[in-house]
Amino acid sequence: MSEGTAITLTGVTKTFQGSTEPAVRSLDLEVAGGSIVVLIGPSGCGKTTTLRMINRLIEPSGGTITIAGEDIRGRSVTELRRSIGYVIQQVGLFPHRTIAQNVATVPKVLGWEKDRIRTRVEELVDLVGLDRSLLQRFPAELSGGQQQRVGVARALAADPPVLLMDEPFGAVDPIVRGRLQRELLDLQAQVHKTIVLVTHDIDEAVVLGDKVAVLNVGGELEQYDTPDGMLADPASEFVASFLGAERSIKRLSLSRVSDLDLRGGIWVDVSVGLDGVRAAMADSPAGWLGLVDDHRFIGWISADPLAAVASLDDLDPAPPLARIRPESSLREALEIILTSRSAAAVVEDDTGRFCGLVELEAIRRGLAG
Amino acid sequence: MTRRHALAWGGGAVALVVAALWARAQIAGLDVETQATNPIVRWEWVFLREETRTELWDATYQHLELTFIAVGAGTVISAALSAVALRLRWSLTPITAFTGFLYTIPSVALFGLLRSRFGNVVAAEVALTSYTLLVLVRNMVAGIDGVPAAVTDAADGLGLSRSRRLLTVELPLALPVIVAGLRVATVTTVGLVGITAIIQLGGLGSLIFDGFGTQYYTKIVVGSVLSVLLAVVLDLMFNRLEILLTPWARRRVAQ
Repeated sequence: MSEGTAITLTGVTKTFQGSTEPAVRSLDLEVAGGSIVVLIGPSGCGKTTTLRMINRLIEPSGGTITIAGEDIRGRSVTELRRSIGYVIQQVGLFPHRTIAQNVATVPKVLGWEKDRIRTRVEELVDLVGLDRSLLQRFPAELSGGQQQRVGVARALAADPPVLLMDEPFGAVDPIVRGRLQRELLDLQAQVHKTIVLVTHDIDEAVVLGDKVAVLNVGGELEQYDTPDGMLADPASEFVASFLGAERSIKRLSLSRVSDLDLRGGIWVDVSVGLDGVRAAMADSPAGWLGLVDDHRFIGWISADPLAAVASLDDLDPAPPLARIRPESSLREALEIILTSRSAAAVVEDDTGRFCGLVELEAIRRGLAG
Repeated sequence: MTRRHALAWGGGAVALVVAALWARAQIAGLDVETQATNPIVRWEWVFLREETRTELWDATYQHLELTFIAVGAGTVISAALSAVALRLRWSLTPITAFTGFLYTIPSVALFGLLRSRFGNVVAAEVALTSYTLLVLVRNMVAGIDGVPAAVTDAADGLGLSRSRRLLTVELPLALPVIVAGLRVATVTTVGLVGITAIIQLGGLGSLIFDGFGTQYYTKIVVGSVLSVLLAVVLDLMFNRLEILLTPWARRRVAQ
């Protein structure tokens, strides 16, 4: 198993008082240390109940939960919770406390020294990408996205090995949500926590999860797999219908442009000279060609003007409409190609260096492979 | 000045005018001789008589004392009742019903009834205290209940103990509502204290009763004015307190 604190659920059952049907029935789940596991399912599937049993906000009716091999019932509830970060959809910042005080909640309870708390708080707001000038503000003075960042900082304050997140990005608008999701992944690359995250958004599950657990009503575990494995091969009708009709499209968001073979494609380097370019054009089935000069993409040219000019300098290449980074997902590449109505997107890195072309056909092949 | 303050001041002013008109009508019914020696306000009694200052000061002090003991005891009892109601939800209805029942007993009857069992001061305080319970318990429970569920959930999830959650999260957030209850309780008690004059207490109330007994209207007017002033000043003080205790409630930035 990788480094980090593993969480194991064995035969975990929860039947709420006054209910005959269990909300979670005999659930077994292994969360590898340092990984992100996403719990997803329709409402009433017990995903939030499962999450809240891990920090004993809800006590299981049966079964065992261990963190780092230790039964969570062996520790006092408050001590256990202080060692587990907790982030909820409505954030739940303390409105009467400043941002600094909110973030310092657990360190203060743990009796840290003032200087240590201050240093830690500043470190955390930097980590979650907030400006330090916000520290003395009250929560009501922050936007929803900023509040959620404070919520994450507060959860991470005492450096807990485990982080529980209950629909953390459910209350922010889609643009901010996408940004927060990417930030969470960047953050995770630095802090390596064991994260259990609940969502009802399958796209979020696919983007964030190292593994995804699909739960059915009554806490039945339908499938527990990597996002790609699940999208490629759903274990049941239920999982397939839950993943939706666009499974292939969703899989595209799991692969990067750089995963594709970018060497081929209809382009030519100007160093081959006018004759070389004409020869390449003759081979191009589309009747047009990309021109590259010193690792820069200059533009597209078509056959007729090429036949008419005396020198490559007389050409007037059309600038590319679709440009994309190697780290972009195939889904983004597809989106860009379709909206720009180009046949291919030009792949360039941050410095504008040409890396290759992506065509629709290459995306299709990527999905099949 | 808020709308509520405008109402308080306006109400006080109307009460004074009504009192003055009533006193004037009484005086009109007196014979010429008495009226000549007994105008509505005898300023020389208020400002020149040496004993008046001590008498007024003592009466005001007693009025405040009766008020604060009643509100103080009411706060302690209400806190205990609220704690029970918050822990055992089912008990809220009977507690509200009981404090509501106390509130409906006519004060004059209650003072007289209790006086036959206890001394004057105890009788007055027991009655005054019982009248504060309804509004205090209701506001304490409403204040704590008003703390957003997400906030208490986060507090629990972060590992705050129950007592720490109450002291550092719930109470501070409930404070505006609790202070609002204290404010209403205090202002009503200031008014009720006057009635304890029927059992020989009453602070400024005894001044008013005295004035009726001797048909010395200056005392009635001075007692009433001071009583209203006391209520308004305390009301304003609680308003300031509420603002001081909740700096976070006003600092909002337009998003």
